[in-house]
Amino acid sequence: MMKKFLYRFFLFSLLPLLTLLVLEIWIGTKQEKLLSEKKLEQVFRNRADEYQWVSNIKHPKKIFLLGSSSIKYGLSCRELNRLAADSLAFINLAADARDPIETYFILKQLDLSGVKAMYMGIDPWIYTRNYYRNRHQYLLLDLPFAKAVRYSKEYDARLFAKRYKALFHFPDPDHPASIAQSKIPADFGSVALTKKPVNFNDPVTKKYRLKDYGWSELQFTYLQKIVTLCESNGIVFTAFYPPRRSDFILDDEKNGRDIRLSFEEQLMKAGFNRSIHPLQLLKDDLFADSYHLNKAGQEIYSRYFFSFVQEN
Amino acid sequence: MLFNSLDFAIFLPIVFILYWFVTQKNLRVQNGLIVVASFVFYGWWDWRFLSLLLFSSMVDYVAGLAMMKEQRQRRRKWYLILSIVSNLGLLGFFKYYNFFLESFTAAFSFFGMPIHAGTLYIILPVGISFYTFQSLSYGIDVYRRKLEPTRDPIAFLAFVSFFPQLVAGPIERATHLLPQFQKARVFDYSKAVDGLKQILWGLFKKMVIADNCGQFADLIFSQSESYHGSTLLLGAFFFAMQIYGDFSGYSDMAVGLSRLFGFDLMQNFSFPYFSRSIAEFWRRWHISLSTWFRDYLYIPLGGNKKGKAKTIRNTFITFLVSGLWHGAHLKYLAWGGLHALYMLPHLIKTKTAKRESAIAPGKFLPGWKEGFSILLTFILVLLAWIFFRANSLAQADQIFSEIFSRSMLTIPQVLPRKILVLLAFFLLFEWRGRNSLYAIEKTGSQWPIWTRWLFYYFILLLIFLEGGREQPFIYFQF
Repeated sequence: MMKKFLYRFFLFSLLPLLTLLVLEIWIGTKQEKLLSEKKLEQVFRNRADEYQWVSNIKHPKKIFLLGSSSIKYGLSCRELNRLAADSLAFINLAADARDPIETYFILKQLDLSGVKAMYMGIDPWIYTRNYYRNRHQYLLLDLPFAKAVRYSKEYDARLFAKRYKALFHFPDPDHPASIAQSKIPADFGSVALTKKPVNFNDPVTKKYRLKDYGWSELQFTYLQKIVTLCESNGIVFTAFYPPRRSDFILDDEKNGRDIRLSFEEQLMKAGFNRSIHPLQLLKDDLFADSYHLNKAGQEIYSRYFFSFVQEN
Repeated sequence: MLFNSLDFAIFLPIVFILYWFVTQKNLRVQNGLIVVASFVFYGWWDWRFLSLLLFSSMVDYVAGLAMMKEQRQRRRKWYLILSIVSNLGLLGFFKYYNFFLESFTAAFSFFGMPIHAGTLYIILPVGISFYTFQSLSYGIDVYRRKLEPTRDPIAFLAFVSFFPQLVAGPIERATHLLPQFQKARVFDYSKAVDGLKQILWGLFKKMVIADNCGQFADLIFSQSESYHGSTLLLGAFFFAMQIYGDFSGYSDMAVGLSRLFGFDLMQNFSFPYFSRSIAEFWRRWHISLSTWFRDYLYIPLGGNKKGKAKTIRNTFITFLVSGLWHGAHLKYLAWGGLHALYMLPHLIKTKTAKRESAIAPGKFLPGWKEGFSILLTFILVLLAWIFFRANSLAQADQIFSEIFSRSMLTIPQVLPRKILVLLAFFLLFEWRGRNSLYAIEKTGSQWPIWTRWLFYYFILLLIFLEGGREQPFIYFQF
């Protein structure tokens, strides 16, 4: 009886196991194709729909601000435009956890005429695979099998399901298609942080988990692609490190040296050989958490940032 | 360790093989394996709480033996009190200490005598309400001489800590489960296959129904002030499906797993949402807890044998305590109280109502009267869930006032079509299998093997592809 049970159970399990094996082999061997620009373009198509309003800004000197939440909440376009006496039109395309891949496809889909410069805030942890949990599920295909197992145990038990769904282009419920928006937002894409953000006070070492998951080479590649896109359109590209609270800077200096070196190495490998300007603010009461400015911080930092733009 | 985790997928085959191939010849060793496996399973959450499990088990084991040796009734009573105080003391401290402290300070403040008492940061040990009740029932049954106490500490530990039902039930009676640890288990092919089927259905209920509905219930309840009455009612419906899928799904997995190891656990849910009255609902919902309260609280209070007034009093006490069992919060008391109110017409009726048998037997659809009773009972249960799910009584009040307003007549603002289709599929199978032990018990029994397997693959595929964002089992918190 037991023999029959085990035999039948084995037979029954064979089909799902073989299917998983085939899918994993497919992912492993076709990774380059699966993560090609053509494929990713399909995944991120229509991502720029929420920025339809950008084409409604008719200004000969547009400046795009790019990056993740530190830029979305860190700079106020209204304040920047006021400081520039409307001789420039600042537009904020940053969003929570936004990475270079998505940014690149948004830029590709937007009309770049009239754009004179782009300033991109660089948050190095965005370039780790550890942050794939905040990304479109398609990027989970970039995890090697062993790392995917670890990831599913640690962060998301449904990782493999998401991986295979991504393979067959199932929509990602956590990253729904953008809702088209043609009305120009009050602060041109910037948002003042009024609530305290949660879970953003991790120490440096916890943020990266490089030994476990490594850097995402794709992110570096797409950062370089943004630079190339700018160059081909005659747009000035400048990268900078957004401000951090002093304890974060100290923690970073104390425990993040190797990470910094490794990050720079990855940048070089991807062909990104520009300097990244450290545009810091040192007053801690201007921060809502380790690296998000509060409303007062946003205003002060915008002024500081504007003088940097002028110098450039 | 969660049943729907990778850890458990590795743990289970190891235990299964050791159980049937290595330890089968020696019952004590086999029971010992169950204890070790159960301790690993439980310690996976927090090994520190193993001491509580051990303490609760040992107190009842020793109290049981002492009651057996002691003939003087007074002394026996003292041993029983020791068991009750130890178990309820643990439960009271870990679950209710802060609640009672806060309630007392609030009451004193209300009467103009503010007092200051610091609450403690207490982590609730997973499943404490389940295993203390199971252990407690042993002490009470031994005291009542319904059960011969066991001298085998390993068998007793295995009974209290049996991993399939340790953290969320069914709360087994010693009279039913303990003897199963005292005799050799034989592998039964059809029982094991049936167990796997029940696990599969339990996983579907948990991962597809509960987890998906939970996302929308959370969304709607977290911003209840921004939704119309119709959306809020839909939120309550999603929660009703979530809690049923979650808890009955866990019970299905527990029963199914036990069958793999040659055990039979009691049925914990019997299609409660198809009940035709509230009384019937409580005979079909969380049966192991309802019967526990019936046998160890309602009947000792006098049950329905001491006149109408006392029956009503006993019913209210039982439902309020049952509410409090779910958590130290007034909203649970309100939930229990509302169910007691629902029972009133049933209690006041002079004629003893005939106990309902099978639901719509031999028919695909129920008759008008039966259908109406099912719908009405479901609506009453649904409204009571609002108290259970709301964050506070104030939020429940806001939701009720919105539901009983004109905004109830609008189209819901949240209408996830995919989830509604999945729910339709689920409810169809539940209805088809309403008179079985679990919905798909008889599905495919006459089909050729490959058709049956195709059906199981289909359920697996749904679990894999349509499983919602992972949510913790609701009943673990109780």
